[in-house]
Amino acid sequence: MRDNVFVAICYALTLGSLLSYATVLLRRARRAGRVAKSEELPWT
Amino acid sequence: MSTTVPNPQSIPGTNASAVSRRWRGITSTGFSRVLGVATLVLVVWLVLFGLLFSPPDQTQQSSVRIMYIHVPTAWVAYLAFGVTGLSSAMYLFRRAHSLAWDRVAGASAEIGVMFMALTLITGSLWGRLTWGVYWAWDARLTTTAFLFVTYVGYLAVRRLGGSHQARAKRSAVLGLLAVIEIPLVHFSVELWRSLHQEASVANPSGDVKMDGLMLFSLFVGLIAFSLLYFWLVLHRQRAMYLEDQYDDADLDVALVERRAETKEHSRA
Repeated sequence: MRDNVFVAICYALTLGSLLSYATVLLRRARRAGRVAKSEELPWT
Repeated sequence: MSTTVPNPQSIPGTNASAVSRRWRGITSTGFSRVLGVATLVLVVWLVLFGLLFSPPDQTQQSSVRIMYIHVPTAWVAYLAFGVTGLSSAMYLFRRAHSLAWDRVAGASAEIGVMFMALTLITGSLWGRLTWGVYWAWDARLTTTAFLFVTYVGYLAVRRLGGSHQARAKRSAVLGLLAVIEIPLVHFSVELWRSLHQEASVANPSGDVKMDGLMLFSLFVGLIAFSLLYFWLVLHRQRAMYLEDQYDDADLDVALVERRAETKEHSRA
């Protein structure tokens, strides 16, 4: 029982952290993109 | 960057149409979207195989399922710090001293730190179940913690201020020095007596004693997190490019304001 709780914590923590980081990253990019100077972005 | 975003119209070189065009998926391309979807599918696979389809271990029972995320997060952290070292070398030793390499190094280190933190946390929980303690001052654990702290320091050094080139130069030197720690962490279990087990898959003898479905689940985890790393680096270094542009634009506005102030003073 305790094993399953620890496993669940590990998966939830890892996947939750990665998802949160990706969300924050995309938000920051959008915020920075709103005021970026160049008309043509290098990757487009 | 935790700064207040000003009105886009006040920044030179921006206009409303460009702003609305950029609002959606500013750092995305067709390739990054495909990569994102592939990553998502593999992460779902990882959860299914890791939690449901793979069998429990004879001695460790269910706790072995932690391996499918603990090992991949450690692998991605090594990969990320290796890419930081390589990009730092590319920045320092190529004539152009392109800031693109610096941004890749910074993005990779940031993501590596996050994966390393997850490695330490999941390892600590797994250690509690198998060794009975959350932490031991063991060679592998100590060197891993040291590696984590080193790259947190690297990220702090990147935020010290100055021009983009100054930031790139000092962090590239540190990035090259820090990467030396990776072999030390990896071979710590062989160099010193350690609680931590030796490599199960990438061992010198090549003898893999693991059930087929367990091994498959582990590889799904490795591929899923590697793809996730590439997706995150792609977006993070593009976001850094935009942040650098924002910094430059902010500086331009400050200079214009300062010049206007100077003119006012000279008239008075």
